[in-house]
Amino acid sequence: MSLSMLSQLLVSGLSGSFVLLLTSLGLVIILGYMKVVNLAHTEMLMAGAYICYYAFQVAKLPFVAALAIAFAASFLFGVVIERLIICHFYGKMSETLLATYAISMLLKQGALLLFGKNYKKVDYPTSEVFTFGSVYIESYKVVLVGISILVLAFTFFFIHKTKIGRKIRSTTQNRSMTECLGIDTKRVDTITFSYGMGLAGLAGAAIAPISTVTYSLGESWLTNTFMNVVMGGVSSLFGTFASSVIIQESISVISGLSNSVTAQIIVLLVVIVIVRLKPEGLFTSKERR
Amino acid sequence: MKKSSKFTALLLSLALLITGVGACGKGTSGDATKASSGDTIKIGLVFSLTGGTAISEQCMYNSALLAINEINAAGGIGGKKIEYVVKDYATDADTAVKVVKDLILQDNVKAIVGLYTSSSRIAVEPVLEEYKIPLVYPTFYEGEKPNPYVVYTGCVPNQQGDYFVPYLMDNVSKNFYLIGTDTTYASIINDQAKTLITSLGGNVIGEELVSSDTTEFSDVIAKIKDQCGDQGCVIYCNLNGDSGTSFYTQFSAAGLSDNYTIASFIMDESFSTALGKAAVGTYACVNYFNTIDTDANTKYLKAYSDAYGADSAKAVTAVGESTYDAVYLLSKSLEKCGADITTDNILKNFDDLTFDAPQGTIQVDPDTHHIYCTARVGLVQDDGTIKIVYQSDKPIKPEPTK
Repeated sequence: MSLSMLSQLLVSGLSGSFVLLLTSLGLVIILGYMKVVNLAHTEMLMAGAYICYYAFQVAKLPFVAALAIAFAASFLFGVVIERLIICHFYGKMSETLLATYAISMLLKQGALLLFGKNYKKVDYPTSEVFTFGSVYIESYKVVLVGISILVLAFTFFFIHKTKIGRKIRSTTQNRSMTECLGIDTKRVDTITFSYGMGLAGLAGAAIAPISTVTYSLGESWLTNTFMNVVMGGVSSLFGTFASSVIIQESISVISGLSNSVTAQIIVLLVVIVIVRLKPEGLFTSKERR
Repeated sequence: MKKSSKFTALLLSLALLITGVGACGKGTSGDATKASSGDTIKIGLVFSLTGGTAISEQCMYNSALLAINEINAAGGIGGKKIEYVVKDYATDADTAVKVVKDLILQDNVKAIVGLYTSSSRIAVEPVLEEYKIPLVYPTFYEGEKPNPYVVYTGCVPNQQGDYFVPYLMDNVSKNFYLIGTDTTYASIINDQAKTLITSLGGNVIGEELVSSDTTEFSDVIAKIKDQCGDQGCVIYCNLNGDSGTSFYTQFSAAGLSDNYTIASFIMDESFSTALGKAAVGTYACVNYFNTIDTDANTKYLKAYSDAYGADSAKAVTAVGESTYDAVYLLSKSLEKCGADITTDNILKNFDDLTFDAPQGTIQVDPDTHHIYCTARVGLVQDDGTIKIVYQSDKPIKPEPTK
C-alpha cells in the first residue's frame, strides 16, 4: 500500500468517524442518562433524512433550516413518545426494548406507506472537492465534521454547564434524592429523551445527502451505531468520540489492506473482546462525581 | 405509578408491534369477484412488497396486475377470468418458501408468477418439485441448470455480459475494476466477467466485494484511485439496493466520473431517474430499456402511465417488462390447455411460445424454458432516460448453463 493511499484512507476514516459520532450521539444520551436502549434510534435517522429531503430538496429551504426543522420535529416526536409510552417503562429493560422496537417498526412501515418505495435523492449542499496532493475530501464531508463537532460541543455544554444539564445528571445519579430537592424528574426525563431523539433526527438530516433516502435507510446504520455505543461506554461523550475514531479508522485502513467484509468482521471481533474485558465500555467515566 | 397504567402501556406497545408486523406479513387476496373455480383460473403472485428489494419489485408487481387486468378486460383465457392471490415474501428466502406453500396448499393456484432474488428462487425450487406446480420467474439472473418446473422470462449472462464486456472494451477502456455486493448473484457475475475480460485481452485491475449494508465507500474509492491511477478504467459494478445508489453518489461527488466510467447490470430506469447527475454517463446492459421504440412498448408504457401515473412510467424497468411478458406467456400457455389444465400441459405449452413483447418478439426456448431475446447496452442521459447505444442484430439463444 502506497503512502498516498494510506493517507487517503486515514483522512476518509477520520471524516467517517465524525459521521459515526454524529449518528450515535442521540443513542448515547438516551442510553447513558436514562438506561433506555432506544431501538427506534436508526429509524429516527431515516425520519430526519426524509425531513431533509422535503425541506431542502423539495421546498428549497436553506440546508441549515432543514437541519433545524429535523431537530425540532424529532424533538417534538420524542416528547409525544416519551409521555405516551416510554415513561411507563423506566427501569424495565425488556419492556423498553419491546416498546422502542414497536416504535421503530411503526416509523419504518409508516414511511413505507407515506412516502412509497422509490429512492429519493438529496443533492450535496456544497459540491466542491478539496485535494491535497493525492488526497481528496468532499467539501460536504468537511461540513459534516463541522456539524458533528458543533453538536458534540453543544451537547457537552448542555449537559455540563446548564441548569437543566445539571438536573439531568443528578437524576441519573440519584433519582429520589433529586426529587427530594423539588426537581420534577419526569420533566427531566422527557427533555433528555426528546433531546436524544432530536439529535437522531438532526443526524439523519445531515447524512441525507451522502445516503439515499428510503424507508430502509436506518438498517445500514444499526450495526455501527450500536457497536460504537457498546464499545465507547455510555457514560462519557469522549468515549463515544474515541470509539468512533477507532472503529471508523480501523474499518477504513483494514478494508484498504484487504476488503470491507474482512474489515467489518475483524472490527466486530475486536469489539467483542473489548466488551468481554471491559463490559462498561472502553472509556468508563472516571469523571463520575 | 399505578399497576393498571403500566399494563395498559404494555398492551399498547404490543398492539403497535403487532400492527407493525401485520403490515408486512400478510398477503392480500386480489380480484373481488368470488366466482366458483369453474369460471376463473387462479394464479399466485409472489413479490417483495416490503423488504430490501421492494423498490425493484414494485414495478414487477404493477406490471403483473396490469397484464392480468388487460387479459381479463379482453375476455380472459378462453372465457375464464384470471383470479389472483398476492403474497409478500419481504426479500426473505424462508418467507418465500412459506408463502409459496400457502399458495399451493391453501389457495390451490394453478401456477405462480414472481420472485426476484436468486436465493428465494433456489429456496422455492424444491417446493415446486414436491407439489408439481409451475413458476414463471421474471428476473434476469446468473444462470443455472434449468429446473423443469420453472419458466424463465428474464435474460441470462450470455445475453447480457457477453455483449457488455466487449462493448466496454471497444468503446471505453480495456481496464476493469470489479465491485459487487457479497451475494450469489454478484460473485458469479464477476467471475464470469473476469474470465471474459482476460480472454479478450483486457486487464482486471482489482476486485472488491462488500457486505450488503455498506453505504460508505470512501475506502473503496481510495483503492480505485490508487490502483487505477491516471489510466481510464471501467468500474464494473454489481452493487444492489441502497449500497448501489450510495456508491454512485459518492463516486460522482469525489469527482471520479471524469476519469472512470461505471458500468452495471443493476443500473435501470428506477435508479437513473432517482440518482440524477450521479448516474449520467454510466452504462447499463439488459434486454429491455423503456426507450425502446416498438408499438407494443408504447402501448405498455401508456397503460402503465394511466394506471400508476406518468412519473412511475418513467421508472419502468426490465424486470417490470419481463413480468408483464411472464403473465402474457402464462395466459397463452393456459389458453392452449383448454379445459385440461394440468402442470404438464402448462409446461409443455410453453415450448416455442412467442409473444409480441414491448422489447420485441420473444420466443421460449423449448430445451431450457428461457427466452430468446436481444442484448442491449444503454447509456444514461442527462434527463435520466437510458439511450440504447448498442443492440445485437438478432435475438440470442439462451445458454443458462454456459
